[in-house]
Amino acid sequence: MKKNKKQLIFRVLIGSLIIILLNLNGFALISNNGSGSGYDDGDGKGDVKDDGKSITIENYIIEGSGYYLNANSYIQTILKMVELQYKQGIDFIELNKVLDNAIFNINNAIITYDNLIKKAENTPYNEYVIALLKDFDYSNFLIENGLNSVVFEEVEGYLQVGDITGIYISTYRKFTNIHEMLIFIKGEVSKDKLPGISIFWRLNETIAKSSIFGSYIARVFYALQKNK
Amino acid sequence: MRKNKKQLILKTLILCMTIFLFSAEAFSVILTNRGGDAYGDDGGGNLNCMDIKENSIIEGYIEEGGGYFLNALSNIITISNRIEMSNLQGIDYEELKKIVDSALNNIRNAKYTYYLLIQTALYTPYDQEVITKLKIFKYQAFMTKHSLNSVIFKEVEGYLMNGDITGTFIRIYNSFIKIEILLLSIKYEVVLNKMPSLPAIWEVNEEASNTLYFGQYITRVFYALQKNK
Repeated sequence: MKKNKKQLIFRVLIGSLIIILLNLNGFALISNNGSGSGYDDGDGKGDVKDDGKSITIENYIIEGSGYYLNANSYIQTILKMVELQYKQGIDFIELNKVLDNAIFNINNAIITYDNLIKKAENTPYNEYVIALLKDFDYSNFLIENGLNSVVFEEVEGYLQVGDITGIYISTYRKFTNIHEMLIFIKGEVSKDKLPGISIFWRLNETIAKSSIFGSYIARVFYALQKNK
Repeated sequence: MRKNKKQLILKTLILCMTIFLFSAEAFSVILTNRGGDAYGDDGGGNLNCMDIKENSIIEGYIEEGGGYFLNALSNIITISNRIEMSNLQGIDYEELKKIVDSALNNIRNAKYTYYLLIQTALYTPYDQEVITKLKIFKYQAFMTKHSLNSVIFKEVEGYLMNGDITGTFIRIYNSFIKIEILLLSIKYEVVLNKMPSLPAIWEVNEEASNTLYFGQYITRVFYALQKNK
């Protein structure tokens, strides 16, 4: 009798957890958000702390995205300065400051994603969400929303096999790539020189790809939540 | 004899202009830059200094429009940042309104500059030498070599292989209009102190990123033409 009661409480708590995880309207925002719902606590106790663990992952995502978006904003300022260099000239001191801010923010995004990956690797997946991801109609979603197939296929490659941590690792690599390019640009700018234009193109394209990639992931999790 | 002298001057001017058009490294930057290269004389065959000036006007509009667009993009990213952080930090709607207004001002300026660019481009004949180079350019090999996003690059190729440079300006202008409409829908929510709809935020981000990609791939092709001259 006591065992049955415990099992009932456990089931109610698991049910509540799933409802909470799929009801976090506030969490499906800009980049990779909502993907924290793919993680469970894995301790089998099903207490209130369960959703707290998922929220930790979601908080890392929000924090990391916040830093990334800040870095992105500074990078757009850098690109604008490069774009208008022949009209307005280049203020290398100013450019150096903007670069420092971009590097600071992308570095914080990298640190946050490093913590996120460690946390994710030690947190079992929420199998209910993983099953939803595996059943999701990616082809239809791609067409319905007029998405870029190249980027969406990369997203699909991770999500349809339930590899959410793989998404974080891929994002982390994009961030480190951006960081390396910024450091290279800084090396030249600190000598009052601008590097060749191709590095700015690669930076720009990596940024654009990262933004679209993160946005598509958030879109899928938002759709899962809407379709539940 | 007089005719020969005139022809010599004409040939020298054509040569100077070609050198100018393909040596202006200064103009190959971020967004559709060097698109102005494809515009030549006034159509009457009178190559004089004004021809180069017309080309510079087009290039000037491209730079100016690109500058406004990058400002708008920076604002859009800041809006996304504020929305992203809202669960951790809350939202300062007054600040958000200012950022949305700034994004709207910048995208409207970009749109207006591109409108002027299109009007100028429509009345400026193409430089047939550049158009020929665009038509024989090896797009597939270029895309593979630089690992470009095939969806966006195919779109770029569709315009450039047909020599439709003005079409690329119109395509970007239409994107600016889409971005403006999306920003307006965001503004309507923000002025009511309401969280803007997430699909609008995603769409504005994606449209802006795709436009950036599109414009940059055009610059890359013109840059490659210049390098291969």
